[in-house]
Amino acid sequence: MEELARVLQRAAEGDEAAYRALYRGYRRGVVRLCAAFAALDSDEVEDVVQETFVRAFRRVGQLKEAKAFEPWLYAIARNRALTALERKGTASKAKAELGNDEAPVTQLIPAALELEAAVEVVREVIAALPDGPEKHTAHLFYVEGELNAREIAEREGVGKSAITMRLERFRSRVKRVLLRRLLETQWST
Amino acid sequence: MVHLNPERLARLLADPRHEPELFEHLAEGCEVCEAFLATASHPLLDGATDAALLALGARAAAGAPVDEVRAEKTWRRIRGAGGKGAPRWLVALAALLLAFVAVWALRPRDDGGAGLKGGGPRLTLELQAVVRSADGAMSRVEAGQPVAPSGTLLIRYHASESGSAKLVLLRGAQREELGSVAVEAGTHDLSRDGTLLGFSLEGEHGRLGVRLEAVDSTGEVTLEVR
Ligand SMILES: [Zn+2]
Repeated sequence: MEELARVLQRAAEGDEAAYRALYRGYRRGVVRLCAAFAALDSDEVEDVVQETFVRAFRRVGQLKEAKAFEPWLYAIARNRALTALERKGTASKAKAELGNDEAPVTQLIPAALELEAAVEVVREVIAALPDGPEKHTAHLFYVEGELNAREIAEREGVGKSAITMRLERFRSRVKRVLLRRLLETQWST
Repeated sequence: MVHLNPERLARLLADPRHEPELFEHLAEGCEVCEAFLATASHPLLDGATDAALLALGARAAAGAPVDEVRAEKTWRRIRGAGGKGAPRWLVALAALLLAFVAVWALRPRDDGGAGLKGGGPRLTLELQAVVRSADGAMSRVEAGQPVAPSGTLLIRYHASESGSAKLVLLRGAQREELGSVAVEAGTHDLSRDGTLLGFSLEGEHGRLGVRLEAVDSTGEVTLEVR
């Protein structure tokens, strides 16, 4: 995290090597985020990656803490991916509208949403799922972390959109538990 | 049964004690609430959710092959196809546009005898911003004036002498150097290698400054993108 803080500081000063280090370090995450949307082809994924990093580099100097970088980058990426889907007409209108919020750059990460705690939540949610297509798909995509939604669909012999729906469903379970954890800390203060 | 909706989510986030029943309800899986969350954007929660999900497979996939050609290609697009590290948001424009921008002339700065200490001629710079909107309309922008995050920012400068200046972009506290440009005595539009330079405002937010830094003078324009 200290190393990341230094890289972010240098990026904020416009250092080219720092931009590159961030791209090298986080490109995979952005690509994987897009890989859950089977409707995006590989060229469209690259467009999202490009737009995400261009936007992130513009505002990286306003980040308040290094640990906020990754969630912030992914919030930008999700936003860009939803916009790309909207352009293709494959995202629901509600989603597209809600997806237009710009990720706030100045927010601090509450303890309940810090990476380690959040990863623990994901493990718990997977473990609690009954065996079935959703668990299987979530495991393939998130735990094994190699195949994209299209490849999983091909391998499983199901429609591409079914895989994306399973992944979205699983993701929203995790999001619900994280929301509850966040609220718990607010309740007790 | 109370389920999530935009208003209740906002109240919950403000203080969960405002919605005790819903707070309890969220401890259990609920298809209705999860379907709502799937489409409700909350950048902090969304970002944290994705960071956690993607962290899970990151170690497993660390050894997976990376398509270097693709990664490099996108990198070049991020940092500007023109090479020389020119960022993507620095856009080249046809010189034609400037017929429109030429509707005002900058006042040469009255230096009142300043610049004598160096002996030789002193380069002073003054900048003026113009925004060309998506529909092609041009408008002059005063310092700190709010502008929409669309269109292109153009810079006209007045220089007392010919010389060179460093082109710098300022976003809040962030400073980005975009190389040097040659400036010519008189009033001109900012260009490099014969190509007019413009700044795409798409995706910008907040305070944006463009600065020309010469050895003994700095010209700057600032606008508020929102
Ligand atoms: Zn519910």
